[in-house]
Amino acid sequence: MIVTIQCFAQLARAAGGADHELTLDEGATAQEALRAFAEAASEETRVLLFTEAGELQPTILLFLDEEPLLFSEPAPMRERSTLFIATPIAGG
Amino acid sequence: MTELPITPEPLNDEERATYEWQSWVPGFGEQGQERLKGASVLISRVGGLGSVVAYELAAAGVGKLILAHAGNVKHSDLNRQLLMTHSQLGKPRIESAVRRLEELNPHIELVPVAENISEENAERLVGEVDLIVDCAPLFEERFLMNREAVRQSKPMVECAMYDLEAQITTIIPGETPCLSCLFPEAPPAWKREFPVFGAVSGTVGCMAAMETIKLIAGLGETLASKLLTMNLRTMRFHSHRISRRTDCAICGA
Repeated sequence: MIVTIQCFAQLARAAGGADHELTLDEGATAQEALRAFAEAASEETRVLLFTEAGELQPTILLFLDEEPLLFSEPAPMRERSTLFIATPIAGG
Repeated sequence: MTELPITPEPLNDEERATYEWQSWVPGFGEQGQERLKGASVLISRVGGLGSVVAYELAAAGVGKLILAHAGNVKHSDLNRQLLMTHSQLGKPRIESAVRRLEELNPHIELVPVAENISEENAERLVGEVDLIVDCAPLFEERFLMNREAVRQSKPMVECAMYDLEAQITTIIPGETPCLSCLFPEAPPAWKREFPVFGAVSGTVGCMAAMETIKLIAGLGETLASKLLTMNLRTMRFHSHRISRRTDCAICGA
């Protein structure tokens, strides 16, 4: 199935754009999609997403088809699902 | 929506004339305007976001604005910090901000604070207002504002921008996620200076001003428990539902 990873702000800049399509096996979870995306992405992207220990950075917000998603709770993706990943931003 | 404990202030004829067009808005009326006149708002930094927030709230007739911002006007401020002008380069930002706002609306109370939010002033400044708009660039300041907002049960409109993207939510202590629910710690890779256009900060700044007006007047629906993200490169807007963290160190949900 084809799903979309949608990156926000700093993450989009590091990943070279906001939208990234992934082809995954049927029944793959959002967590697997995120790992697959990170493995294929730049080092800068991986550092924004995961700690050295491989844990998701605690400041990352995930939304699967607009609904909040906890990385600790595996959630299956569907064809054309969108996983939105937000890194924190501020003012200036 | 929970009504904020604001004492409405009666309008005079000049104010009725000044705010006539917005008083025609259904659900707002003269009563809404009296609530704006009786309200006080703290704006943490009047840079790219806060300049526009302050400008719109002053134009709308919010009775008292406390503006907190340190430092002097620099060239690199001028693409987005709309209260700063070339003629004020090298002079305190807060003076430039007040000068512009007084030109726009001389009938509201402006309280300039030539400091950024810190441990020394956060509790006092938050205690002096009905609600807060957080426009600060540093997460340390944002977390301080959030902590005080939660401690003192003051709503806080939280807005931010980066590149051609922006986000905004409205925090209502005890009801919605607080900033620490969203981000339990400062992000490791955030840089103080980043790419952005003034039109991006202006867009989300106007939205933050509108959220503030709605909270004060009890008008419409706010972004409580919703995070609105916008990408002005693609013109995609998303409203994401957000939840409180049961283990939040600040709001203890």
